Amino acid sequence: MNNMQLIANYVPGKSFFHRLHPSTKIIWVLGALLTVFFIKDPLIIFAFLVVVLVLIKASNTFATYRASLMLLLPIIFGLIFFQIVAPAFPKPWTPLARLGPFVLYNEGVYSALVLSLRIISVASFALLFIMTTYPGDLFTTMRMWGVPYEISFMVTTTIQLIPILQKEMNIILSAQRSRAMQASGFSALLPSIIPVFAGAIERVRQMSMTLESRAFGSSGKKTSIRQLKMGTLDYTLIILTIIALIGIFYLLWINQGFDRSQQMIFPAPAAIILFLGSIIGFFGILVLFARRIKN
Amino acid sequence: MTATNAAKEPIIRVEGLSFKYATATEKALKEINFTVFPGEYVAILGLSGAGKTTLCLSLNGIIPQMVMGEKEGRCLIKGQDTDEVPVREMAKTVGMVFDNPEYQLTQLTVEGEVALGLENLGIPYEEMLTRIKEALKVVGLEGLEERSPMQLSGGQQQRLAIAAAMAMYPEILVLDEPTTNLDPIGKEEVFEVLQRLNREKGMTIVIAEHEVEVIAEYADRVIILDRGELITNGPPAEVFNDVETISRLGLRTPQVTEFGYRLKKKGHNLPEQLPITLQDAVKKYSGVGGKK
Amino acid sequence: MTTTEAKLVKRPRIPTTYIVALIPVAAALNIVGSTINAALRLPTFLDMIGTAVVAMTLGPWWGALAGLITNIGIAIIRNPVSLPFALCNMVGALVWGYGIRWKMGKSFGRLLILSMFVGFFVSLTAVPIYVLVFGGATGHFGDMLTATFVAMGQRLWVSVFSSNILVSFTDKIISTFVALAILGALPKELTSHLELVEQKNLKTVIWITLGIVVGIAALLFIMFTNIAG
Ligand SMILES: Nc1ncnc2c1ncn2[C@@H]1O[C@H](COP(=O)(O)OP(=O)(O)OP(=O)(O)O)[C@@H](O)[C@H]1O
Ligand SMILES: [Mg+2]
Repeated sequence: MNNMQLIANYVPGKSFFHRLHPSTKIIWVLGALLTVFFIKDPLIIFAFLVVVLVLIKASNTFATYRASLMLLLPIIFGLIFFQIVAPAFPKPWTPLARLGPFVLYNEGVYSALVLSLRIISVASFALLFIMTTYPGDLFTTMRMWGVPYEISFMVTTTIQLIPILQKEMNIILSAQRSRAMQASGFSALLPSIIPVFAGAIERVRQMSMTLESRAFGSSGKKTSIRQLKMGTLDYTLIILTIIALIGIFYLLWINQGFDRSQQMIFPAPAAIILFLGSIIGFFGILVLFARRIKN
Repeated sequence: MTATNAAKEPIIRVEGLSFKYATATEKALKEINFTVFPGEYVAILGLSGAGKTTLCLSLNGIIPQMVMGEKEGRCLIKGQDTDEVPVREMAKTVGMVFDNPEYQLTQLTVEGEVALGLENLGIPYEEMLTRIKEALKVVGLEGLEERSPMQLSGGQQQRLAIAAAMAMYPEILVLDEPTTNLDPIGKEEVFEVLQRLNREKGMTIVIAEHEVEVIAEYADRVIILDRGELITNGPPAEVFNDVETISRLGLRTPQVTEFGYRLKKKGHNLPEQLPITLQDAVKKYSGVGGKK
Repeated sequence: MTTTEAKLVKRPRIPTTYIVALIPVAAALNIVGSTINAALRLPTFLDMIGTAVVAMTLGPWWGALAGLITNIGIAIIRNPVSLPFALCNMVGALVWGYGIRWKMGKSFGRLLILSMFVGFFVSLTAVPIYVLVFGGATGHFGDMLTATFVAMGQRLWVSVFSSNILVSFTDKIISTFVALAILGALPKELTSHLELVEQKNLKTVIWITLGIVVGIAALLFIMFTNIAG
């Protein structure tokens, strides 16, 4: 039960992406991040997103992906709302419509599209990486890169502790509730944190003693039960990626990020629908989340 | 035993070891002295709070390196001082099984848990697979390789911890009450395994345990601790025959010994040395059925 | 005997195990805290209590590490886009850590001021990320406040900063005092070197926080209506 949540985002499988070395995937994610943040044309970003979605589908990770992406929705709706009325572009802005105190701008619709597509596509690509990489491999890679073992221990342990702490906190919270202490909000939550924290420290101290007793971090050659090797494919892909990135950045530079905010004109009704939709979406999602977490 | 021991160097040498936890007012260990020779099977017996855990943790350097407090005296493993060799290096010689099973599982899968120590020792992949398979079979956890350690029962967790320590083939294996969560059959299995490791691989075993019956059956030597002091140190047959001392300390002797002791007190004619195991008792008591 | 006395005089170094143990617990607490915060719909974040504990006991840079690991953890189990906020968590740790070193924990008043400093600097780091990367949205209830300020005619970044600082003050004051209470429950070896005030009743702290935040909010509203008008 607990551990379902533990590696919630990892989906076991044998797809092309699963088989790549984490290093290759990390370089791809970083490359995509850099590229997407300099592109200003929503259509290009959208095309990239479509490619990522196809890859996600091909790796059999779509269900997990969808659930994870849901968490992003409130911020996306908020973003659309704010950008339409206060675009991230230098003035002057072209007004499209007026709703109460808010003026909707053409540049706003444009930047709402760019920013939200950016976030969604980068998040999707990063999720694809997380979903297809066994967490243990991530930590092996970290060690391969020379990250001190204490750090990789701390990261692994953090992830393992989350469901444990969550469970303990829930137990204390519900115990308080059943004692009819009007356990609501802060006054219920805050005192319960203290014993959970103190208990967890003892647990982790014991865990670190165990690790030392298993020669973790000792001198000498190390081997791995996870056969994790950089293949020819990985090296080839990394080199190709670097060449591609250089090309892309050259193109971006001479085209100034493909900024088309002055060419794309949106009809006023579209802006209004988008704007109202973002408000409904924001509240809808928050209510939905709150209800789901409560159950 | 003694004849061969005389020629050998002790593998564990504890000299005047005392330890006081930083937050405690009294010492948890007081001037402890003993030695253990390679291939010995030593049991540490004592009431709760006697200092068994503290002593176990001293044997690989966790005390004083990872626990705050004041230490006096020395603890030498193969001639190396536990103050000086980092625990993670000492781990190559001394395997450790802690008393709390749940807290000592750190990996995402059962297989990974056993693999952890092997990876750190640099055991080649193929051999790693063989050893993991062997260790999990021995503790009866085969088939659960991909399970998360957190999803195991307390007894299974305890056996997994033993498998993880055992697979490293340490020269010395220290176990702190490793069977508290196990049912009688599970206990028996663990002791069988330890005995095999001891006999077949010559692994030196130090185990804190409170079940005197199993100690009597398996151990070569018993060390009794009481409130941080070492009270006795000798072969089980000798130690358990001193029924007065044992009961004065609030401990038990094996039931067969207790039985013989009471009969003897009532005037029954029993051998000088009382039996400490059931088999032993059957042998010694047969033919003593009659009155004097 | 002399060696024992010598050891008693100089404070023993905190063993690495404590450090290595405290940081993941703190990071996990941050993550669980933020989840529960969302579930209970509290007007805070509660994602830096662990950071505060580490920064106060082990020092600013260990606190920063706890902050970084928190966000790496969130990236792995939940969503990678929040990774930039590692920076905020780290800045908070530095202010808390150095603040305590510079004796800002010695009295209730000082600690209150320190919390507000933390809130201020965290907001200062967070707002550019919110505005540049997320177009001003936080996905938090605070967004409604931002929208109100925008509706009053304020610029986006001013609105985001104003709403964020209100949430930030609330969050950091509460986090500081919860952290203080946690310190009281930690092994003494970890906390004996700190100069800290006695724990305060959390209810009192919550009321004081409420007072401060409502005050500032009122001030902002008056300011903004005057500017707009
Ligand atoms: N971390 C600690 N801090 C302070 N005192 C401790 C600590 N651990 C143990 N002690 C004290 O040291 C003494 C010896 O404890 P130890 O745990 O070694 O006993 P034990 O024989 O293993 O007991 P049990 O059978 O209950 O496991 C006890 O008095 C105990 O209270
Ligand atoms: Mg014990």
